[in-house]
Amino acid sequence: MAHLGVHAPDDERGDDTPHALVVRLQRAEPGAMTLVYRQHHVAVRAFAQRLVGDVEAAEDLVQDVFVALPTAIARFRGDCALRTFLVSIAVHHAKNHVRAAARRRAALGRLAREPEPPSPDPSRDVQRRELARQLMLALDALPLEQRVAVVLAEIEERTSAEIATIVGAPEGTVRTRIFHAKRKLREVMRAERGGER
Amino acid sequence: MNDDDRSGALSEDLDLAGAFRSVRDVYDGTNAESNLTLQRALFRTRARERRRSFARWVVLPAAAVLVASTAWAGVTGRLTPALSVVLESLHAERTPPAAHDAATASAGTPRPSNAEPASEPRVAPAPASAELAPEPAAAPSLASEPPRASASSLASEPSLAAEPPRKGASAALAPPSTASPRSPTATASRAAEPAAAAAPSASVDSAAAAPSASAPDPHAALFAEAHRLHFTERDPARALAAWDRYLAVAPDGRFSPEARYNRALALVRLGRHAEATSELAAFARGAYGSYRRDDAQSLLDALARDASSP
Repeated sequence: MAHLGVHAPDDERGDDTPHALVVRLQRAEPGAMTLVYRQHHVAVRAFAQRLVGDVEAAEDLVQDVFVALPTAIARFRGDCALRTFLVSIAVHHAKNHVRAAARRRAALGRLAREPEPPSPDPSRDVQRRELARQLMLALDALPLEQRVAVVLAEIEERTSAEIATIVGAPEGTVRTRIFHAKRKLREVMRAERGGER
Repeated sequence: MNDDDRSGALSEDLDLAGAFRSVRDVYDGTNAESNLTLQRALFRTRARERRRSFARWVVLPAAAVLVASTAWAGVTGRLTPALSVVLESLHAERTPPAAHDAATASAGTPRPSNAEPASEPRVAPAPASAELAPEPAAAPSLASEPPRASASSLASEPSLAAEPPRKGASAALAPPSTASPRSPTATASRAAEPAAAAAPSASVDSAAAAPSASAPDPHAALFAEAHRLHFTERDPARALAAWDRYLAVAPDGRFSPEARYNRALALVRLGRHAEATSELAAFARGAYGSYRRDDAQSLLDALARDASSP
């Protein structure tokens, strides 16, 4: 708590977290929780959806994040934005949700082995969704640490320093994880494309 | 790396970048159910806070009081008697008196000085015995048969006597327990109990009870013998004599209510219904509290029906 007020608010991700709000969050006051939820739920949900790749599982993860917030806020030192802190809570709670979503995708993939008939005039939206689906399947092949790193770096476009704060690892480690993750993703997607041909 | 490889790698990077962009666009963090998620999160948080406050204000203080009182009792020497009272009350519900006696004696736990006031032997419920307790089903069988048949049906009733005393019970009674004498007030009892005689008869304080806790119990052997004759030998005549012997030396002994009840059963089996009725009436009146009151009343009813039937 000593750092509160020393650091400037994060303009980009941004919020400032008054000490009183942190105290109210620690007491699990519904008003404080609602305020924080209203300010940050879109960003937290976006990360959850991008990490998990499943809207329902992501919603469960968002819920877990805000349920855990009153307890986790005791660790908040104010040396990062509250939004970043919320994302770090999501990372810590993501394991089971990612597994569940990956299992669901695998099951759906087994059930729908037949390729979908190509649309005569595929819209851009359909293409994007197909690309996103392929990337999610490829992400399922990654270890969770690499998956988190690549999602934060390439999809959320966060800096290595910020990712290091979120995952609690050195920046070098984060960069190594991103490197290996991207290499693996290329391999998987190449194999996928080869299989389709 | 040739040009083809380079262009292939570039193409893969572009594909990957496109895929990342697609994920970013598709998953933009919007959800129509976001308010529902907030409500669920608030509900779960409230429930957790309630559990925590219950633990903080109820469970923790209760645990603290328990720990503190246990520590205090341990320091002041009240813990062992209190534990023995609790264990005794637990065992008394399930264990026959002899086995209970053995358990107490083998555990070496001294009886608390105020566990059974010597002046109130009849009010205190004697330990119930599962083997000795006549089941309510015994009453109809008594009612439907002539007296001798009733007695034999009583003897054949598993709840009454079919089971011999437990091994632990007889083994424990062979070296009689010290904890069993509860009321060393009677003159005959005092004469037979050296340890009890050493203690003042009026007050059974802890200082007096402590030495008697290590002395043997001469009455327990008499009780065990009567029990054996009654329920193992199934010899009501000898059992009656044995019960009389026990009651003569310990008329207010720890097991005297049980002995009186068993004596009444022996009288029933011997066909001495008038005497049995008189003994059972005391139980049915509540002279021993609720101990055997219902059983005695059932037996009295059955005996009355037997007497009135042609």
